[in-house]
Amino acid sequence: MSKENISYDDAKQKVEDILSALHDPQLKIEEMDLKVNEAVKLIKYCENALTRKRTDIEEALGED
Amino acid sequence: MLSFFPAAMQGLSVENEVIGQIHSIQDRSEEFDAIVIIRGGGGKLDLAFFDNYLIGKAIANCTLPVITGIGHQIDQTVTDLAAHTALKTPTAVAEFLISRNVNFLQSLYELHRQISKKARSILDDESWSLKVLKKDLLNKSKEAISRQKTELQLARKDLRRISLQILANEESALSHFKERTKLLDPKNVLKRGFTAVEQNGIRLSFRDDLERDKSFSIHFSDGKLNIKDFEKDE
Repeated sequence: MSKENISYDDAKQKVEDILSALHDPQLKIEEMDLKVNEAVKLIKYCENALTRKRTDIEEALGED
Repeated sequence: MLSFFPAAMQGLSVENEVIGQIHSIQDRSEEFDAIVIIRGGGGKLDLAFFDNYLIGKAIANCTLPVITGIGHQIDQTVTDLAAHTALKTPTAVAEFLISRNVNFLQSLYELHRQISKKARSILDDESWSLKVLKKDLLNKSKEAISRQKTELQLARKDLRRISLQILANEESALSHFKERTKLLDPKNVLKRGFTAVEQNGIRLSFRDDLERDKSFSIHFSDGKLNIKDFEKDE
């Protein structure tokens, strides 16, 4: 799934789902690795989205 | 405007002609303000034709005021007695009418002056009221705009504060996710000295799940070790 096509809320939900899935004792180490990597990328995507949003707010509403 | 209605002023025709002309004028009464009957001086007998009951009756019934000026200073006829105003001579009638007109014009001028003065006063008052209203409207508009501007500024600050608070909450949630991801990352667990055992593609959590005579692998932080032959303590 391309991260550019996913919304912030969906990405955040996806991270929560991955974190829950990582508790599954049946999960193989390689699978855990893959999921962790995906979660890290999604978290980074969300952080960038928040950074952009903060810039937008500062531009629109100014600074105190 | 003066209109001339000729009639005999002496002789037997006086009665019919004077009464006829009074009726003619009466029929056009909306065009006139008064009827004037004048006759220059003459003998007593000449003027006696105006001592006439029917002429007097016609004058009395006329809706317009009748002004007479018949004969000399000393003459007075029935016609004079029935008239609204009886003057001694035609000249006196002319003076009377001119005097009345002059007075009327003067009163008109005075009324004109008073109306103009009153109109100017009303205009001045209204103009002043409008100026006061205009100033009041301007002040109230400025106050309203200033108030709205202040409210907008407060709303902008609130919006900014709330937006940034939401962002901070989200950043905190993401930070929490990062910590959990770090804790659940198998590489970090293995680095802390733990190992993971997998057999038949399944991660084993219990020693008893390990099957005899089948290879398995042990995951370390730096790689995995495949075990083929092993003994299992019972």
